[in-house]
Amino acid sequence: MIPTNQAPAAAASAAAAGEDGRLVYRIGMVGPSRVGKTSLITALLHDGQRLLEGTPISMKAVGTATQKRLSQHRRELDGSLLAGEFDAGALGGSQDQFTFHLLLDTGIPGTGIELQLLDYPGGWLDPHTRPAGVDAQWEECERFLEQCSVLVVPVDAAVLMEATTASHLRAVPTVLGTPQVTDVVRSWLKRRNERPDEPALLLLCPVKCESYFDDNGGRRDQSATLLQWVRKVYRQVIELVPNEAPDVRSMRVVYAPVDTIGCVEILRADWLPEPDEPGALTFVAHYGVRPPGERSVKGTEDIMIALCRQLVSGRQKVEEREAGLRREQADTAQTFAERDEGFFRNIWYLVSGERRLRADAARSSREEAIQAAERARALTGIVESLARRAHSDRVHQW
Amino acid sequence: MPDAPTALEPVPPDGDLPARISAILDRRHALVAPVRAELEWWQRVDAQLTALAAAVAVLRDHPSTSAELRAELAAFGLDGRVDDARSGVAEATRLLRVLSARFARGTITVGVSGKARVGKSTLLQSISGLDDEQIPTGKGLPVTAVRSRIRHSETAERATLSLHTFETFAADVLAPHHAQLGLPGLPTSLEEFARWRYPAPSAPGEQSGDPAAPPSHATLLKRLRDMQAALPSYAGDLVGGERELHLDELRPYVAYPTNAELGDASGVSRRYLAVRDLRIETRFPHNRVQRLAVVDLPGLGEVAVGADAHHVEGLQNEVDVVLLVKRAMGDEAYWGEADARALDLLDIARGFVAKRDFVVLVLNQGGVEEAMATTLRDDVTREVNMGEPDRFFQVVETDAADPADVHRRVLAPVLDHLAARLPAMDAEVLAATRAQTQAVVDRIDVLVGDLSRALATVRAATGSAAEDLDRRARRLRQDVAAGLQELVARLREQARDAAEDPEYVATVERAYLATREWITGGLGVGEEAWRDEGLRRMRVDSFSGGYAGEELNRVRVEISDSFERIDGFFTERVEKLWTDVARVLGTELGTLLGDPETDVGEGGTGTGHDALDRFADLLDAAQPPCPRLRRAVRTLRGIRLDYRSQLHPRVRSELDGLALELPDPQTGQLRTQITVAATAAGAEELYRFVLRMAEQAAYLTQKALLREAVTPALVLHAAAEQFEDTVIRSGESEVEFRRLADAYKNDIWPGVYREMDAANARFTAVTRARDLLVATLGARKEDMP
Ligand SMILES: Nc1nc2c(ncn2[C@@H]2O[C@H](COP(=O)(O)OP(=O)(O)OP(=O)(O)O)[C@@H](O)[C@H]2O)c(=O)[nH]1
Ligand SMILES: Nc1nc2c(ncn2[C@@H]2O[C@H](COP(=O)(O)OP(=O)(O)OP(=O)(O)O)[C@@H](O)[C@H]2O)c(=O)[nH]1
Ligand SMILES: [Mg+2]
Ligand SMILES: [Mg+2]
Repeated sequence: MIPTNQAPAAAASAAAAGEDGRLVYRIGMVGPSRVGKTSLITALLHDGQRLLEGTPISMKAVGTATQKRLSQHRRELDGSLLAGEFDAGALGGSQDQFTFHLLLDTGIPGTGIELQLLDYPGGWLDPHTRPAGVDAQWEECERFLEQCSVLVVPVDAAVLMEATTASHLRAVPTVLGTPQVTDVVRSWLKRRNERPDEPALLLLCPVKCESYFDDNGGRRDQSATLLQWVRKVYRQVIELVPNEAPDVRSMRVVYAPVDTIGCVEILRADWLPEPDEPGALTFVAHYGVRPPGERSVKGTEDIMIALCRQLVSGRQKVEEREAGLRREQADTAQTFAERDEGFFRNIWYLVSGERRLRADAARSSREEAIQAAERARALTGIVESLARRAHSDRVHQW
Repeated sequence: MPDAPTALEPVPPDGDLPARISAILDRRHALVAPVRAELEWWQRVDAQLTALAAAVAVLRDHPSTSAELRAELAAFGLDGRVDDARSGVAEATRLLRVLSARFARGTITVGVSGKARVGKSTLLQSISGLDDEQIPTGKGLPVTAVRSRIRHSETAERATLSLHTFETFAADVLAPHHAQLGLPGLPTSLEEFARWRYPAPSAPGEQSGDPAAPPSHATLLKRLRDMQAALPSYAGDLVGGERELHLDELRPYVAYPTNAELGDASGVSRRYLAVRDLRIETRFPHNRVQRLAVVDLPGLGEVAVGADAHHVEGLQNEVDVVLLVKRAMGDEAYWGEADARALDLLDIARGFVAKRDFVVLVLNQGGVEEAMATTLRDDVTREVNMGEPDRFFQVVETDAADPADVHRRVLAPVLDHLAARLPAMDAEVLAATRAQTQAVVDRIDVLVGDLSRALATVRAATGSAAEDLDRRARRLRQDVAAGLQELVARLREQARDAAEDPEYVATVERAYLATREWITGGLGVGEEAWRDEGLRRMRVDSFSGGYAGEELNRVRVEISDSFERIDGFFTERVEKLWTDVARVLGTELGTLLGDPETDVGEGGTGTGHDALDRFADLLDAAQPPCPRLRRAVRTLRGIRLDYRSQLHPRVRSELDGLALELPDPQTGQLRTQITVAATAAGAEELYRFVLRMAEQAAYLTQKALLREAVTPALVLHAAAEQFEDTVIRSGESEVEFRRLADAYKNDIWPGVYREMDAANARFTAVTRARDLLVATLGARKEDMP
């Protein structure tokens, strides 16, 4: 549906931003193969649904492709859980680039917030492991990563926590792909610095954390150690922020560990020598499933909170600007929105969409229109209330 | 030494003769002990002087003695001066022996001297009342063959022969003859002497008529052959020792063969050859002096080698006065050359006694024509006393065969003379001996003083041994410190990157793999057996908790024990530390702890802890001991590093999961980890669960152990650092290192101090010998003011 009061160019732009003109929230992820990117995305959906239970808002996968991917992932995971034990290599890694579309759905077409999460095989990160013929796709991925205002860095907590000997420790950067991750973060930050007013969020998300927290079925709390390790191993990444994006005042770096499975526990970890590369080690963790084997995602709520906070602060900025602009020149807002391809334009669409719904509701006394306006308001309310929610103890902010 | 004037008080002039003589003899007796004491003192001086000379010679001649000291000692002129001093001591000793013999005699002793045949024996017969059987006399040929000492005794009547053995006979009689004749060799046994081939005697040549002239070759040879020929007669008497005889049996032992006997075809008896001397006790008639003895001697001019020397010797120590008997013989009635020579011999024998006091000329005028007697008297006055009677020598005349005359004209005046003069004579002898011995003492004093000065110039050089030890002890401490610091630095490095210790990692990983093998192999019993047992138990119990709980407990203990495997590594590490420390010590301590290369460590026979234990014992045994160092060594030896006591407590919590019930970390409430149905499927599920828990526990334990790798390294580093700190920086360190160095310097620096000690010992031997001698010399001055 194309807003009638919008200029065609603006409408086209909005259409590009999201189907039906709903807010599209792009989230980038950077992590090597097997780190848990795909799992993290599925966990977000899984837990988002739980989070929104009892509200008029729901979270759902948009499009068949996304739905297929998600159900396949779930099947594989369920199989692993049933087996009682699994290795981190159990789930087949991603084979191609894929954007997950998750919608915070109001039920009203043209409304809602769509989370677009770019997934890609972690192997593409490193030119050494990047397969031939995917250069164009990778470039697309890079463009996506540069554009998004949120960058998630999943961190394999087990790699950090199970490294005991010097040779293990030496292998950690390679296993975690920190040099490549650092490169991606650096260029992302450079782009963020070009839009210093735009809120930016860097999420460091340790995954596979079940064995190191005692808040989700685990016996021991080693979270402090984990935080220390992340700080140490990702120090460069964290230090990049003030260096590369000094102008982004609303840049936030959030440390949010996530259990994407929850009901598992590390049994042991092997550091296997890489046959081709002397000194290099492959990390293989063996997990056991805690009875009764029900998935218990933990920590995604903190991601949602962080995202919502960013949305809220983005919205405030947009509204402030609009207010300033409206007094002078009614169209300037439109111009501004068109000029700005990023986060603000998305927010602007959200804001103007809501306004439009409210106007529609005022113009017609139709039940439908009133309901739509209420739903929109509910979504805003939920986002705002999530944003107000306190982070769990797991979270750390820099 | 007793002072002569005070020691020999003058005999009261009014006392009667025997009492005066007796008093003199008593006073003499009192002097025997001091003189003998001085004799002993001189013997000590002689021994110490000899020892000093020997010590100096050793020091002087040792190659390690410094050139400086050797030069000093060479300049000192040791040998000649010591020889000189020793001959002085010998002379002093001889003089004191004479003195001692003189004072110890216990009798007034009168000797006789004079040419053969002058009536000496006749004179003594008259004095003693004995006859020819005891004091042989005779005409023509010499008679008296042995020296007899005849002592007055109121009660006893006996004769004691002192006999030669063949050896003393050969030495005293044969040897001088052989020497004089230039005959090589000397018989060593009777048989040899009997078979000895002496040259055939030539015709007696130009034998001098003068009896004092040295005997000719031919005569000497004949004497020797006579002795050989007569051997059967006296061979049986060459038995040594003493033989007591009745007075009637003496003659064959004391007299030369008579003319008639010499002509006897059946062989001549010469039993006198077996006799060294003879002592007779008998009652002297007409005698008022109880303690009186006379000595009869063979006459001078006897044709026997060494006879004159024997004559002098016999008189020198034996008699207080000599009666030199002179008799007109044939147509001779003058003081001849032989008489002058006899007087010369007596001059030797008198020692420090004045000639006039020692010799009384007795003109035996018995049976001599008056004219001849007068001629002799006048000639003696002229020749001996320069024409003035009794000017130099007292001259008495008598008829030796007339006892009453002998008493009246010889014995009484002689005894009177002695009673008057003996105290003075003794005093003179004493004073003269004293002067002589003092001169020797002075000479030795000078010698010792010079030697001390020579030693003093080099004392500083040898005194540096202590300084050297100080210096070496300091350096030893520094070197040990450097070695230990290096070791500590190495251990600190290891402690810093403990994860780098691949051996530890490998050891832990090995233990972990073995543990996992045990787990995956069926928890020690095999999967099937385990499940069967589990099923059986769960059915009996009708619930799974009992079996599950027990098994989890069992597995926990097993896993914990399984990791004790790594103790081998710890033992090795601690031993290595001990060995490293022992090496550091051993390298600096010479051979004290054995050879550091071969005795300690790999391939060596000993171990580091053996070496350290030995070191601790040595520190304890040192005089004075080194308690601080010892304690440091004991502490180092006391360090323990093992899984059970050090690591298990730290990794114990990793095994906590191996329990049926666990507290919920959030609520604290106990939560049963697993419940299964009492079925085969349940048993399998339980098995999988226990296996997983076991695997995880083993893995976590391994991980914790790897993280704790720092602990062993820290413990070792701390122990070594503590040791180094105590050994090097404790307040007692320096003192105890000095003690250690002192107590075991020969082991720590083999050879160095042994040589230095030996050199010191050589030096000390000299100073000690010197000090002993000085003390002895000092003692004499104190004892005898
Ligand atoms: N224990 C545990 N395992 C996890 C978690 N998240 C992911 N995994 C496992 O990690 C493995 C890799 O997860 P993926 O999500 O496929 O990782 P990826 O980053 O998408 O990997 P590529 O597609 O190869 O780039 C899978 O076996 C997951 O089951 C977690 O939170 N806990
Ligand atoms: N009538 C007389 N004869 C004497 C006197 N003195 C010695 N004769 C004799 O002289 C001889 C030698 O006397 P001895 O007493 O044997 O002489 P001697 O000095 O002992 O001789 P040797 O023992 O050979 O040295 C003897 O025959 C004596 O009798 C004397 O005074 N009067
Ligand atoms: Mg993936
Ligand atoms: Mg005679």
